Amino acid sequence: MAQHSLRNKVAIIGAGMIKFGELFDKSFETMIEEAYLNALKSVDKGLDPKEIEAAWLGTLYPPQGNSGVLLSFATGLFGIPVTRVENACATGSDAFRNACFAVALGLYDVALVVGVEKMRDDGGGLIQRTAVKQLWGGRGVTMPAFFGLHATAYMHKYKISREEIALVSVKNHRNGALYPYAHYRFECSVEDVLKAPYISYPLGLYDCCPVTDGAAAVLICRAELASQYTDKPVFVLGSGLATETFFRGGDLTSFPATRYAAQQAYEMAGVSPDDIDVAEIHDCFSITELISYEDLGFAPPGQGIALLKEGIVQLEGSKPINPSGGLLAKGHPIGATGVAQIVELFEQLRGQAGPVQVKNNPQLALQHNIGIGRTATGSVSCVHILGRG
Amino acid sequence: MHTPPVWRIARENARLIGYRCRRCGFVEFPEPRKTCKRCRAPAEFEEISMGTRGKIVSFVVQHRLPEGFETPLPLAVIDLENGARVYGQIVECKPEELTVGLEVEADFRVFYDDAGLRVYSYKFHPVRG
Ligand SMILES: [Zn+2]
Repeated sequence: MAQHSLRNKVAIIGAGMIKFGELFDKSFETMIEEAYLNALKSVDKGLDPKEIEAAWLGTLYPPQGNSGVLLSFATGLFGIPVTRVENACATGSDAFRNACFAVALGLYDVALVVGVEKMRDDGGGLIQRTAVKQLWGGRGVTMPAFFGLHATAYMHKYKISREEIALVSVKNHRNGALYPYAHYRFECSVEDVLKAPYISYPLGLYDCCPVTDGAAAVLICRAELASQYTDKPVFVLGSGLATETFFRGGDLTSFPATRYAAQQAYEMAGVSPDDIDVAEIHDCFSITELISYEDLGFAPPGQGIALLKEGIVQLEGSKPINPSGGLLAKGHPIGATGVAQIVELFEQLRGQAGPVQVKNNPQLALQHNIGIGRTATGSVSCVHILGRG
Repeated sequence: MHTPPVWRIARENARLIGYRCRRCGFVEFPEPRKTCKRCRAPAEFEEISMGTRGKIVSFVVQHRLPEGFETPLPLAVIDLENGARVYGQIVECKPEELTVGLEVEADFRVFYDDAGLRVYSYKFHPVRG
């Protein structure tokens, strides 16, 4: 058995992001720079950039070159280790996770984590990046198809309708309309979701997250040093990561990788799913959020829909989920997504989330991603549990 | 069958050949392996015919695809009779006929055109009684 844990060894002392959207006027490096400066500004007692001893950059599709030096160009931080991380939709959260390892070990006192993606410049979006000429990888399998396959299987097994799944999109767009950093700031109804054109049946347009540019940054330090920077640090309590594939089996109504990653994180933190007060979870598609309620232990298999119908996961509920509007409304600039979720939870736990501040005085927060790999989804999941000091 | 990724699995693709773990029965496809995904360990495999019949585990109907595809395109995950799980396009089937559990059968078809050369592989159609 492992001898060490991350629990309570790392503090988040600053967090910032930029408004997500179609940012044709901002370059990859400008987006990083703005998110970084916002994170620096958020450190209550100030932080000199010279105190940053290492940095991690999470990004999938960098425009030119692919080393950590992109972060140095954007921030002026040269001469220190900068590691680039890529792990599908868990890219940003895995960058954060690896930074936490180094700080927990005491290699560095202060580290920077940046997640970024520029997705609008090439116009085509991820469907154009689909693996087309692959004989058995699945010719014509797109991102929406990966998740649509899970939707069909879930609807069939548990007798759930498209109308019920639409409640996820309705909730998240309602939150996103209030969230200043969201790409899409409009509300939608169940009828809007059902009437929208199909992308990959059973998923329609409003079941899918948009194609979005964005960046987010967090500053972390050794827990003992947190009080030098703020009186309201947020501590890392648990972290988990796992891979899986449906080619090993299963009926496509669950993402087992999330179950493994969540179990690792809950065990490390010494908490249970019931203890979580607020969560930012991976809703790249409406069905993803519904299945993830169950994989994260918030509801038994097939019963996630009750959390929506009973209002539990609404902004005013007892366990608000995706107060930021989630990926469906906020957008999903892949490398930025996990880091932006941590930014949002940092603000929620400190009571600084403005119009989307949850009302249940949160002590414990959970962050979650599920991503693709090897022409399938459910391939990689990352989970973090954060707590108020 | 000219690009390296297609050439490497030409035999498996042409005859629906898989590789079965002698310990746990997991079927690896299309490449032979020496480590098993289910045993999570090095393992011995034997070559098997995967069979041509299978059942739909789940499906979608694709409405948005890159140029060169005809839509709506039914696409499924299929468990073949001898234990392999594969993606497959479904032909000769109206989208509304698709269901989880539907029995399908493999047919060798033209798949796509690569730099003027035709690439063949399997597509599936419902088993007609
Ligand atoms: Zn085996």
